[in-house]
Amino acid sequence: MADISMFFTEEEKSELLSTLLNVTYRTTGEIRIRVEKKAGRNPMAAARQAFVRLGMRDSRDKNGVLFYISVFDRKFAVFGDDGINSRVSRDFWETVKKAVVEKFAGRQFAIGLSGGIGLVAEKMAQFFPDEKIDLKENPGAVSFEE
Amino acid sequence: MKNKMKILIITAATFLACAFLHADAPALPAQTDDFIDDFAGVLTATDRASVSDILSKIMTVNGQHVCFVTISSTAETAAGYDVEAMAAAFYSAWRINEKSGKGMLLLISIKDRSAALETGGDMGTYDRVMKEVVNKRMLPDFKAGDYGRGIYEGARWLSALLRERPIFSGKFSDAALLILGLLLLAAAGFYFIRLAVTAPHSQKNAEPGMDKIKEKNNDFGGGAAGNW
Repeated sequence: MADISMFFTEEEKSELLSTLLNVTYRTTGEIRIRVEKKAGRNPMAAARQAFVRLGMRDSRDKNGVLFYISVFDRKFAVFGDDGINSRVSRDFWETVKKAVVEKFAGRQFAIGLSGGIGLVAEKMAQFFPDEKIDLKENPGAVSFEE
Repeated sequence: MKNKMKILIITAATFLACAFLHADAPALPAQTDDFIDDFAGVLTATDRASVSDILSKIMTVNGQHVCFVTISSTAETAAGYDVEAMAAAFYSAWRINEKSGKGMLLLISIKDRSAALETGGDMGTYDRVMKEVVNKRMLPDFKAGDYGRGIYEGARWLSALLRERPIFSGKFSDAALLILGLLLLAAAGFYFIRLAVTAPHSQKNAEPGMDKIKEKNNDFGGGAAGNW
């Protein structure tokens, strides 16, 4: 797979965008998916760097979460900013990672991500609910390394 | 001489034919809103406002002018058009492309149960995306008779998809590349001059432990990682 933008089918991408868009209606937090070619040795560091690069550190409540995938070295990381990280339990990220990686092993990438996003969205809605009723958009919710 | 007469007659005939055709072209309704024209009257005021809001945001952020139009049927709107031809006629008559150079008009004909898309500029690259949006996000609601929801969903999805894709898909002209190159050179020059002027000063005043602080700034948040 030379072109990593083909990592998801168009249908999977639409479904993921829909899932992510729905999350924005429930919480002030933001979830994004980043697909890159290689993470190097430390996928957490790569995810953290991508988090900064995507401008996700700018959130007021520091409650952004990034689902990071590196395609060629088959690595996955879920990374949350300080706001959400300080509120969830220690093993929460591990639970999310396990749920996602299990599905990834069966090549069910979109299903795995949706499951993980669901878990994170629950926590986000609990700790950072959004009571405003307005139309939202989530630009760049799914992005690919050029 | 004979040839000149022939050319003159053909030109005059062409002008006359054009004038005749133009006079015969049925008049289309005038545009009443930049983003949504609901001639079929299927939208509530709230639907119209929501859709207009989304489409105007696309215009502001992406510079792409997207316009949705509903009609009862092509026959009731203006005789002699099918849905595709009418979409093209609206697009041209309302000069959609002139406002941004990147225009898209979606015409939904309720009684004809069909929709047509007309695009201009580099928006042709979004044909497939829009068709996908129409088929997957709008038609199910249309079939259920909820046009308001279908059109709103279409606008919402189109907005999400357009924002995800790069706005610029054309090629840079030579002049644009030259200007870009000069700007980059100027920026690089400015950066190096600034570096040369400030480096000794900063080094002198650098506080001990500065690197550690920087490192700490990179140490935020938490998560988990693994292989699959």
